[in-house]
Amino acid sequence: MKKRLSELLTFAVGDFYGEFHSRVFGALVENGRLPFRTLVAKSGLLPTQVRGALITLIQQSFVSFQTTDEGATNYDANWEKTYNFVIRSGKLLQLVKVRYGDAAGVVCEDLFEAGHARVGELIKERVSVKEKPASTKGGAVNGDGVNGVNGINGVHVNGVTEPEGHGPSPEQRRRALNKLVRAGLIVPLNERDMKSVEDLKRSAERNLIGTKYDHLPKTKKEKTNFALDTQQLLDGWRHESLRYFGDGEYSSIKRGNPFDEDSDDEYPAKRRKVHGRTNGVNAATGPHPETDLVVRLNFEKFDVLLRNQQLVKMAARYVGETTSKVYDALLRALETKTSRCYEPSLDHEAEDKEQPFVKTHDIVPYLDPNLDLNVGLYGEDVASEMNGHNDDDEEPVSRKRKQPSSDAQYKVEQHLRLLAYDPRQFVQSEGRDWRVPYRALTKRLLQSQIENHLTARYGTVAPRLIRVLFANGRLEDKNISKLALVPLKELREMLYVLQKAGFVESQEVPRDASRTVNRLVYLYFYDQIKARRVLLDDVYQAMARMLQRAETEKAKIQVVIDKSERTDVVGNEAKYLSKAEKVALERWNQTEEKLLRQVNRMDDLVAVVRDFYPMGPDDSNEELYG
Amino acid sequence: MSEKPAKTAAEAAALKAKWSAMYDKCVEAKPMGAYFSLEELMEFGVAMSDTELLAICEELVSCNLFAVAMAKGSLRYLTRGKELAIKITGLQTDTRVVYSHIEASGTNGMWKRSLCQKTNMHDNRVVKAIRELMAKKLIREIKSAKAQNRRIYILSHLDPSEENTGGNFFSDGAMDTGLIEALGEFILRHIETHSWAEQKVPAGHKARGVKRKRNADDVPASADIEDLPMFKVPLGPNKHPLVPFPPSHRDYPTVSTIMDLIDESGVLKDVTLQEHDVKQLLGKLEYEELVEQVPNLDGQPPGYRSTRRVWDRHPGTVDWNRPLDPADDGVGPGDGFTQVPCGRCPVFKACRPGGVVSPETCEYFEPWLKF
Repeated sequence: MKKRLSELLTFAVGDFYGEFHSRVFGALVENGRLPFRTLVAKSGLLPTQVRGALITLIQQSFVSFQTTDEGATNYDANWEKTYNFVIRSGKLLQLVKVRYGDAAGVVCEDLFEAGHARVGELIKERVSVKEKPASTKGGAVNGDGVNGVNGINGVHVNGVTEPEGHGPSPEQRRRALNKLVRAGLIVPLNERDMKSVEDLKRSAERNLIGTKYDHLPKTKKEKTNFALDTQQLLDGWRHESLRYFGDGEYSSIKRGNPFDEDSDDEYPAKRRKVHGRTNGVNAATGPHPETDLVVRLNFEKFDVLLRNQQLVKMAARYVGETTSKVYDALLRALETKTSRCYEPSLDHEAEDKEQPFVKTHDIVPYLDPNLDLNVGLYGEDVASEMNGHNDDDEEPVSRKRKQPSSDAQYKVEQHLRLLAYDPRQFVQSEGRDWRVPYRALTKRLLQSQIENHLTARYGTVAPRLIRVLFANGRLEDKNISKLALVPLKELREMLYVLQKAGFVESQEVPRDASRTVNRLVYLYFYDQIKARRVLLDDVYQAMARMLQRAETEKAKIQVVIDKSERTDVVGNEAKYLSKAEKVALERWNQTEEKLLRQVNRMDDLVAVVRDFYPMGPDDSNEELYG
Repeated sequence: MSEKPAKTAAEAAALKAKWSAMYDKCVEAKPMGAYFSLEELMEFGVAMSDTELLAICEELVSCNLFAVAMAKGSLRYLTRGKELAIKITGLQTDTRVVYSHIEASGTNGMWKRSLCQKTNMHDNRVVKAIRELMAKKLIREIKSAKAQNRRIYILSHLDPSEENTGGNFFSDGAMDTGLIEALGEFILRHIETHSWAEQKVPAGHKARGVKRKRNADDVPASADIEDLPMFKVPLGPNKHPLVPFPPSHRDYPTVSTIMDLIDESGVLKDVTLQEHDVKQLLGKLEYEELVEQVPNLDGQPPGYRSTRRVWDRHPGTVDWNRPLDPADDGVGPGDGFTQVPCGRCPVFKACRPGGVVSPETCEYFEPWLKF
């Protein structure tokens, strides 16, 4: 199943870093975990070349390594991180720029290029020395966890070529970094982050067997408990590194935090309130962040932002544009309380019951001040004063009491009610408190993405059948025909197409003990997880094809590109390039943009289908259609 | 010696009186062809004991005025008309057996193969019997929606059961797509007009709106790409944007209002729709994601509203040769994958770099990449 993904990633790594890296990475994804010697043999490169490539790949976390007690070191490719760096980085940078400003974009970009970096490096990079602020090393010291990787940390693989003095000043960078840290997008690097997911799990298991368990789990019950404990330990470890900046809730910044309150914060008044800070040290004079701390990008948090974008889009599609912007504000208000898309140790219902609440007045500051809240609302709704789903609160007395103080709040609540009463239930309310049933909603989003895909690919009948199967489970073709009201002949043709593509599966059930063919019942069913895998596989392949085609197109006019990049030509294009060459270059730019834009859009699909909802066995196939 | 036949003659006369009385009572109680259980027959009070009752029934069966059938797990008798009884009496034994089996199956009808199995007769004999019965117009062949290729026989005066016709949306055992589409369209149009409110433009809003307020839903021509709405904004009859009704709105169409509407409009000629038919149609529309259920907070049955229509309902085939429109995303169904040639490529699975089908030489890319 991972063949297409490995093809895509190997190609993209080659695109970014060149052939050596591509071959080393390719050897690792093809063969799995390898010791250095075998890696050299499999990649067909010289040991020095492999070593050089490995340094970059490890620095970027594309490759992880573990050294056994006997001293043997094995290397392993890391799918998720590689994908995020080579395919998704452009989108994430764009997101950061729009949200947190250009300086934050630059800081993120540096971090993308470096993989992980010391705070000092991030702040001073590309800046002339005299502008660098005197760093005070007196801040809280927390060297734990980063020692192992400090060695690699200084290596600059992508030599900074831009002239100095450009870009944001150190002060701007520091502020940008603070914003990103507060948003949870940048977190301190922990030794554990360098390990692959499997290794981390294994070491958690080993840890447990030494302490809580004295033997490997044998019975089924023991195994379930063991898996649960392992997950809890992993969550604990994860929390440990996230909690570095505060001792309580995720991302709430408290005393002892080296990244101080920022004066040019988006919503300073609100922030101060949320974090309960009154004695914030002035950013300009206060202690500077510890420059030796090594930080990394937190992709889990990026996934949360991407998911929220998609949820807003879904609200825009089903409810309305303005309402979706209100929803966006709500989701952003909740972002600080959400550290990742889902908790692996919780099941569907349990997690949605524990989602955090946010109050209306905390949502309002996140709204675009230019947004006209009257749009998308139908006049005055007298009865809408009633309270969420609690029908008891409908008495006029309590209605009066609940009259919101400001007009904006009132309007926001009107929009949120629309979302709450939508059949998809974008939000749940308890009085003035709002929360989002992320898990159920994400499943819905996922399903509608798959249906949307099938509509575009196979026409309107295909998603109809999928919806019937998704809502009703296993069915015979006759019953599908009755529910979807599609004639049997047409239905069978479409089922065949879907089955061949892997979106629908069938099962034979014998009607009696004889098991002859004509006494069989064929039941069709739809497995969402399987469908996701199938879809992802196709998309990975198409993405790889886009990149490969881009390379082909580039090779066609490589001569012109080389010429245009010559030092004497740069800046004098009008003088040295012929008209035909300019046209060719222009064409190439457009072609590349088009191809990459599509890769980017396909990545949207990948994010929805792969990253927002657990890929494991489904907890419950609850009714989607009422 | 002579006494005995006389006695039997007298008994026979008494029996005859009894069974004709029984027959009359049955015909009086229920229409011809109805089922009677032994208990029901006993209640008529004609027979004094169980044995007598059985004797009477036996006699009626032998006269072909009663037929034996199993229904609901117990023995039942059903009545036959006198003319029919005479006709049946004239039939050969094989034919009579076949007839009684078809008769017992009622409105469900009986498949030829099952007839062979039940009567334990050879195919030929059954075919011969069927031919005779068809010729005498006692039975007829119907097409069943359950299994279209089966020959199913039913008494000629009966209408096939719903299981066989498949309900109102079937004609001759085949799904009547014309009716379904037309009626679905009719219902959908009704629901659509009752689902979304046309935005009232507040007084003074326009003057302000043009000057400084940017609305998400009506877009100035010079707006940036990022300010454009993500989806096409559906417009009402007065060309104002459609917005959702407030949650307190209760007047969404429900199954019963839709049924009333169909009845009143007279769109259907010879079909009477049942509630489950309408539900089935609404289900279909729901599976098409054209309508959705809105829960009613007063505990009433849920209403239906149309799903916000942000793209054409029948997208048709998308021409992937056409240059990609940057604003395409969200206007029609589809995603990054279906917008590229690979998403609809017939030889996608065979494609690999350097292969016969390869990204380097792909001919679908050429026109797509042209500007």
